[in-house]
Amino acid sequence: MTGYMIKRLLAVFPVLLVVTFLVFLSVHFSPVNPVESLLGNEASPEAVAKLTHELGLDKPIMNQYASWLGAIFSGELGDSIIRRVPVAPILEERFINTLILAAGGLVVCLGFGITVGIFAGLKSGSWFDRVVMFFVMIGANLPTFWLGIVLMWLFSLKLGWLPSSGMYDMREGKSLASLLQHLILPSLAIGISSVAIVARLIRASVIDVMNSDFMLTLRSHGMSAGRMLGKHLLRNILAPILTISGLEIGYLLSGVLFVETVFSWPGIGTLLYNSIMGHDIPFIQAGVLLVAFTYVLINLITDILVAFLNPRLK
Amino acid sequence: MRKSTFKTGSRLLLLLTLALSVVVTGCQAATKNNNGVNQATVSPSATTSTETDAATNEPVKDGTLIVALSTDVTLLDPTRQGGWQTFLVNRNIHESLVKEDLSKTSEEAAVVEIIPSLAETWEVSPDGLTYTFHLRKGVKFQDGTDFNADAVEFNVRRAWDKEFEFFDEVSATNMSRIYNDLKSIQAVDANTFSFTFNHPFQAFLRLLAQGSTGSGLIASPTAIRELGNDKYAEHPVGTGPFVFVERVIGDHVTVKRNDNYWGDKAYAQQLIFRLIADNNARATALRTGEVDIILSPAGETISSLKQDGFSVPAANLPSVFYLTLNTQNEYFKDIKVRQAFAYAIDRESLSKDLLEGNATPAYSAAHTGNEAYDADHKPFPYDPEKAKQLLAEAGYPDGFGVTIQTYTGNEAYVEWVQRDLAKVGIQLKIETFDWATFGAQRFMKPEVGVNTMSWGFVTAYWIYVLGHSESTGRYGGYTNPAIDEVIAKANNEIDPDKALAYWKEARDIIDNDVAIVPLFSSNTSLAQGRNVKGLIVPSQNWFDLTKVWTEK
Repeated sequence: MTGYMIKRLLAVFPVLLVVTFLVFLSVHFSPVNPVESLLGNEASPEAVAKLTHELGLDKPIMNQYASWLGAIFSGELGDSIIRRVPVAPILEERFINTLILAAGGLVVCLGFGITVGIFAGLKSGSWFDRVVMFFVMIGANLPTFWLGIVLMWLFSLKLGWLPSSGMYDMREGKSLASLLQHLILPSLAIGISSVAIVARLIRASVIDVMNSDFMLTLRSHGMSAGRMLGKHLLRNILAPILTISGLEIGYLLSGVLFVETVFSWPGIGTLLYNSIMGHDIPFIQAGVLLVAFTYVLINLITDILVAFLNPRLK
Repeated sequence: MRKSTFKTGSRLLLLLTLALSVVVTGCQAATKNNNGVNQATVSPSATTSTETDAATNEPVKDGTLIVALSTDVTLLDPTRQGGWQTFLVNRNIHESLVKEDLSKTSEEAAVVEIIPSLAETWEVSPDGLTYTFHLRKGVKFQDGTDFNADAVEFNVRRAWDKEFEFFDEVSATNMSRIYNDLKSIQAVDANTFSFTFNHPFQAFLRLLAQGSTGSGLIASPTAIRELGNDKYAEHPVGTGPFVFVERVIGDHVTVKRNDNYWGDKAYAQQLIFRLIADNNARATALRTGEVDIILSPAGETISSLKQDGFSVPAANLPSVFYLTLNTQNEYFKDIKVRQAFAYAIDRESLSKDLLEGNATPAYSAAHTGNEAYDADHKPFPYDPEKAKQLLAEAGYPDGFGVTIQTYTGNEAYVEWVQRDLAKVGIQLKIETFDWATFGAQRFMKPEVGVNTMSWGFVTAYWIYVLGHSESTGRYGGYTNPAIDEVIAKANNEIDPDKALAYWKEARDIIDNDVAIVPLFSSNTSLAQGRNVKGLIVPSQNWFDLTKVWTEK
């Protein structure tokens, strides 16, 4: 187990290094010169040259990469070129907002997915199983972006039940109630498409466990369905639940970036969108890196947890 | 056994359904009670009926007014700022020596008038070189600093004098259109300040009052001294009717009423400028009442907003959507080809059918809202036969193919133009970029024939931007010594009427040369909620928010 963990940890470093290099290069080869976008079209060549030098953009690429990487490792994300403010605190606040939305999505996808999966598994082949699985499959194939617009149209515009954008009601100020209201629609938009994946996996696990020899024995001994569900079934499907949760967090984090734009949620997605439009390179680099690092980290944690829970992998 | 499991499952399912119903209905009640955001949507007729109630038509002070922007605010630093939406925000915090009278609609004033602001009066020397401003006394910045000639000097030197301790390269670049010909400045006394130019500069007052890349709005010298050039934008301090409260980058800017303001106090207690970049989301937020005003309503949402009773006020906005023809391109070197191009586009139909009447067809570089605009001046009306004839004379009886570069958001009208041009034999190959990428390459390579732009000023100085050989606004490399000569005369003329005549002469040269092909001027810049009162949309790309209130 320890050997596996060390191996898994070591494998992460080259991945992260490649990620940093790709992020650096992709922005470096952008067709837009950040200095020109800051100083405008009418800047004198002297002014462009001066600011280019100040920002260190006239050094060789590998030197720029090395100093950038060094700064990243020492926790220095730099200042925004366009806005001249430190990137780190803004990114941190936005990342927390993104995590809140991703958590909302996770609650939707796991809450619905696990519940539906368990019941469909217990009643496999029944009308309930068929109908529910039919609907979750439809949900899985709906584009998140489109679903967001439909939800907004229905619940905000037509029914007037829920707010359509932002994180809080700006007139009233911040409150938990306001946050939860604003969280429902975007969470549904990102969560619904994953319900089917979770439900199908859980359903399959439930059928597997229910048909296993020990469950058949317990049944033959007359153990009640409630005890079987709570004591044996749930424990045995915990590993697949964890695996799918890990995968879904990664998926939700990337899905969230699109949903944020639809619902004007002030997270990393909208920040990245605006930074890309404004070619604010430090923001783009730090934002993409943060998302990539989180993705890799979640996968690592999931793998280790699953290995821990699955004795066969030990 | 199976039966028992089913029962448990059914019960749980029932419980889950009940729980969800409670959550949903609970949210419904909470939403309505807590923020009332949806009341207008739920019952539009109720709002309409209150409008007739005279008692409720009194300005409701102390309210919060939320304006949804379509692009993020650049910088809350007057001399570094860029873009019209940023200027809308900035001008509530800061003021300039002069301002535009935004209290009249387009019908009342086709061109907005320049009126006093931080300067009560001003005079221009007989030779047109020196502008002397007599400053308003007793005005204080929001941090308590006195506003006086020293404060003006500080602001000008920051963007102009390389020797100045607080000289700022970014500000200097952004302000170059205003200060590039400035010879000297002088704080004559505590309340008098003068600018002297190398040549007469008719457009000076207009440019001081407006936003473009950089603006003449004045910042507190104390704040810049304390914060430095780079950090000022995050804590701006001006003399304006609203005080900066907070900015969450990429999300919103909040300002509150300045109760120590020297002029009439604003009605709203608080203004919030929210960024909602997505067109549909912005329109939805207006419909649900989450915001009171939205900027740049997208063409496809305007009609439905109007149908649902929202006001989308029209005005002569001083900007124009145009195509720049690349005079370095092999085809467009020939003036006959450029003129054929201009004849080939049916702008009336474009404005009426495609843009659903929310635009005015544009035929001249001097667009609606511009001082040199003349509604009857249509040098190249739609005439495809004439276009074909000119192409044949130029040696292209069968037409030719050429590339047009544009940016996202323009697809509909560019395809419309493509269709019109195909009718006379010119095949356009469309290349679309995001705005930032497009912006960096808007000076076209010779093989690119055409690109798109949308821009404009109130002042006739706009012709300089498009046509003078020293201007960097000529994306197609157009030059003509004749226009330089006339622009010099216009700039050097002190009599405004005579200057305008010269500007019109310059306009005619650029129009006849077809350096650009004007397409249309948009008539709408905003849509407002039913409860918004007192909003006037003038002939300008921004508006005054101090006299706007929301009816409860």
